[in-house]
Amino acid sequence: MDAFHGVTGPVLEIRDLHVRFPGDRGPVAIIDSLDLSIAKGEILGLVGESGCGKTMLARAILRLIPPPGRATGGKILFDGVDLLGLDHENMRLIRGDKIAIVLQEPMTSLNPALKIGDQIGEVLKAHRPHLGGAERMALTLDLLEQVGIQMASQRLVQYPHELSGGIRQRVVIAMALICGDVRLLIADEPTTALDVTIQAQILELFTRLQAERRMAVLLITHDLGVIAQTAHRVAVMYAGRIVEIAEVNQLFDSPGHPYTRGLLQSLPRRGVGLPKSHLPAIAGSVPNLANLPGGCSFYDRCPHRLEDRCQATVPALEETRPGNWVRCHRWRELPAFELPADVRP
Amino acid sequence: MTGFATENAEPVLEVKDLVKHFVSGGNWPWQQRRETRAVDGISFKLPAGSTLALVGESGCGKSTTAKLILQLLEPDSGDIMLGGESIVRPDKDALRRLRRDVQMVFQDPYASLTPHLRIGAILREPFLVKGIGSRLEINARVRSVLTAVGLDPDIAQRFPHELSGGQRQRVGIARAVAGEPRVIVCDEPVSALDVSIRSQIINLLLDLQKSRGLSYLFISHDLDLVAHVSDAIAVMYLGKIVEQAPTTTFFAKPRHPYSQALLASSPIPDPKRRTKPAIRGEIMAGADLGSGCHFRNRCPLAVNRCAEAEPELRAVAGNHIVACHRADETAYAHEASHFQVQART
Repeated sequence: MDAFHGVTGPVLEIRDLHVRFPGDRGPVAIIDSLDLSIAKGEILGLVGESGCGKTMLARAILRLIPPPGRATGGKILFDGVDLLGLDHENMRLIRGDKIAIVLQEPMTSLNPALKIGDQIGEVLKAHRPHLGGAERMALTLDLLEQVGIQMASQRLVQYPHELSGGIRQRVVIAMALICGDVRLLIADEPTTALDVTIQAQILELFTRLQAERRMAVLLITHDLGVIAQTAHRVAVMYAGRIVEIAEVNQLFDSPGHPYTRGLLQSLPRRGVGLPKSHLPAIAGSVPNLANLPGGCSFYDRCPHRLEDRCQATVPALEETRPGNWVRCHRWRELPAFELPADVRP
Repeated sequence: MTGFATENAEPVLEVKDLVKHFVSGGNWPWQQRRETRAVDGISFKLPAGSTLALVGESGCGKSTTAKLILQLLEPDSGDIMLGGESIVRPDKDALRRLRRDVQMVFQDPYASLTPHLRIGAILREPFLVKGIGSRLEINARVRSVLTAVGLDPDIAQRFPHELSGGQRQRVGIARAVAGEPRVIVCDEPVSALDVSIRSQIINLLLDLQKSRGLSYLFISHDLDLVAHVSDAIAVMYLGKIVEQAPTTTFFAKPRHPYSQALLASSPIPDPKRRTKPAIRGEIMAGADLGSGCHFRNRCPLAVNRCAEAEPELRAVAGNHIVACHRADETAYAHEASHFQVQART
């Protein structure tokens, strides 16, 4: 994976991004001082719980933050151009053409009243107005086959409700990629609504298309299994901040942040831990973003907290070893990471 | 708790040849009448104090089964026995007993609590229905059940929207256990919760089972979770149980090709064990079922016989039953060839 870094510059580089929403008691920071980069040909997994800001990050990149929220600081550099500084017309040219998004629920991201062929054609009409109808049709058919849809010409005249969830999601992926030179694909929980056997097929499709086209992919999910199966690098978000970035093997072998460790330990795993025994749990619940504690936002739930240091200041994201960044005051002092004992016979 | 708590233990709940078909269309001469066989002749026993997991993908009939057991739907045929008595088409008294003895924990803790009632009022209802004592006594019971699910009793004064997802699910569980039921149907009880909260709720369900001798019918699509919480597993596919076994047997030697595919498809949270999709294709639509095994269009082991006759459930060992013509050959196929965990490059 090292080849992805350094050799080719990042496709996307986010520097010190802040997103705020007005609240009853002053602005609420939904994303706080976020730095992140994605290289060409890299799948970056972004994990976090609901409300941690991961979807807002996707929206910020596409400049689609719902008002009254807005990006109040920082830069989002896409191929060196700051997206936050672009006017609407130039942003429109990038959206769907250079940066595409695939959403969770394939039923709601397709228009129920339009045939599949017409929906995909719409994207081309907007972004490739010089193409004629026959060319659009040919491109669409070709792409539907690439995303593994059989009998593509029959699908073109069908409506979304006539298709299964798996095929709908393939259509959505085809729509996202139809313009041909997508450099960054954002996938926001792309398989959460699908069954596991279909999920495996769609994830395989993602990895294949990503490798063929050398796209950068931002894969947003709450499912650590999906991350382990597909991502090259992983960023973990908690309460609006990135708390850990690591190469995928590093993250699963020896996570640095107490939150990442807690997540990995609390997963039920086949053959690990006695059946019907207590699972290791993270105490408490996610803090309210409008009312974050001073200092480390994981303080209340952290088994390694120190009263003075951890409550006093927000820890910085520090590089603890090559490629691994951790936002914890105590990363030097934490014990080695261990999973519950393996009891497989 | 090793076991399928034995055959001789009196089952608290028993389902015999349960059938529920839904008919749509056919109201007009030009409409096609379509029949969906949501639950198509399933039988199982739930021994007292144990957990039976019902697993399968969307549309397999697991939620319809739950509704039939709770008499929210009336079965077309078959019987449901609670403590040895039939509860199908109950009279007023029988329905009252059923509501007392069988409770449910729902998937979505946001939708399953009445938004305009305080938590205390929500939890008083089971006691009012039961006709227990004075207001003072009921309030004392509400406080004690809140303590039992790990909540501060003062939460009784709050409204559902003031609570976090995890707290709401605890209230949902408190409501279910308040009337001291014997069976709780848990329909995906943690899949709507954040990863860091899930293990807390699972631990709570395990504790309550132990202290109150509860029996759970645990509906889930998450095999890793089911491996941890259940004593026995029934796998459903298109309205039928295709395999049923004690949990340890099932995970050591799954015999039905669909069970093997499910196990191979669920994403392993370990980047060193990346897998390929285990099966292609999707669930057959209702109309195409016809004769034969319903899984044959996706099955890597399908032969002519599978299209001709539908396989019956038969015992392959002790209390391990499988509906597959080739069950004798699948015993070790799981490790051997067609579902091997393959390294993906």
